[in-house]
Amino acid sequence: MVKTDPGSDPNAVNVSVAFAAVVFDVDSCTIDDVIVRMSRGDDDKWSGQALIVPSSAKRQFRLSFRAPSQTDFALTVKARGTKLLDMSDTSDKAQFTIEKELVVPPAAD
Amino acid sequence: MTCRLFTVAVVLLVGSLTASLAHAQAIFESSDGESSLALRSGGLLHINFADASVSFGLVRQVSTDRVHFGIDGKLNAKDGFVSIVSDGFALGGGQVTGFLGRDFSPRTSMLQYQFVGVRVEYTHSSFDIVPDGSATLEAISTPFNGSTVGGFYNAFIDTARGKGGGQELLLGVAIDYGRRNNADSLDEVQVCDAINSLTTSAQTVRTVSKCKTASVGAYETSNRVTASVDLLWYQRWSSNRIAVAFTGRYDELKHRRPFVPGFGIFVTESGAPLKVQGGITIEAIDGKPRFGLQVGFPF
Repeated sequence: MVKTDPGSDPNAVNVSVAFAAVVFDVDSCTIDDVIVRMSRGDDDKWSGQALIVPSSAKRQFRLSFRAPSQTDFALTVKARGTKLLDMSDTSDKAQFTIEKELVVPPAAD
Repeated sequence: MTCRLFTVAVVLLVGSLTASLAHAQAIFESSDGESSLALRSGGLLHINFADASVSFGLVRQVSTDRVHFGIDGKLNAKDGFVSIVSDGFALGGGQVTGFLGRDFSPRTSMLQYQFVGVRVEYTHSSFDIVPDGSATLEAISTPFNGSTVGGFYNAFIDTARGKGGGQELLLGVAIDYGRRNNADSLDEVQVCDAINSLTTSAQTVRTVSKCKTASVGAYETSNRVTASVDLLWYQRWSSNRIAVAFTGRYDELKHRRPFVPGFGIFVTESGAPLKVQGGITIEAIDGKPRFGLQVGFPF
């Protein structure tokens, strides 16, 4: 697991999460141990941002939501305008967790 | 014909725009337009043909907190949707509902999501009533202005406690107190003004009449407690696109038998079970079946 201290690291970058689905609630969203606070916008779109220190290591992305099963969702995670994760799927239970690995790469010199 | 279509289009357009701006909530109703479910979802223009009503609403979340407030508006056609088309905007009344509530999401319970709130409702309507024992049979236009206050509870139930494979249901319970009327329980009649003419040559009687629908009986209003319960049961075999509904309404003034049980089948949007697109209901009102049809246009 990659430990991060985004507040004090000048290399930290903004990672944005966009989630679209008709759900009751988004329970939690994390990238490793960094919490991404998700807020509901218009048209059943949720979004949040977090500061992450880039590295070539793989990180665990988790997003849990509450909705009836068979709910379609679309998820995009971006950093510096580059898509780190872009997926869509359908949930099969009421408490559904999306778990994916992603990399927040250091900026190319 | 063109004019009628234009009128209908204007009604739908006004409703659509209002709902779009208002971020309406997705609900389903019994045939009389009542509901205890206040689901949070995208915009929805809702048309209830049995109740001859068009509804739209607004739901807002207070920041990222779990507190939500909302407002709903509903317009009722005077004598069904046909009257809007044939008589211009012949509205029988309108209703405004505001609510404030908080949601809860317990992690390990069968109750996967709960929403508790209070609501205030104001209704203005107008009825043409022929009073009991009226010698002139004149239909008197009688206005009704009533306010109610109440509370509601919504829950999303998953028998598998969120782990998948269980039965999923939406439950709604609401109790309200306030001004009600008994217009729906009065008998409906046609009151006609007729002019007779006798042509002397052929001894033919000609009649010209103009009729309008009215209610006959003892109209009354009073403060009453009303209650409603809704249970929407998602059908797993349909990938949650079909939901079976059981409804119950209690209103001492609205019907001769205060309790009205009902049953319905609703269709949800593909990939969005919380968006109800429409459905049919059948309710036993005073022992007689009443069919209802409603459609929603989620966007």
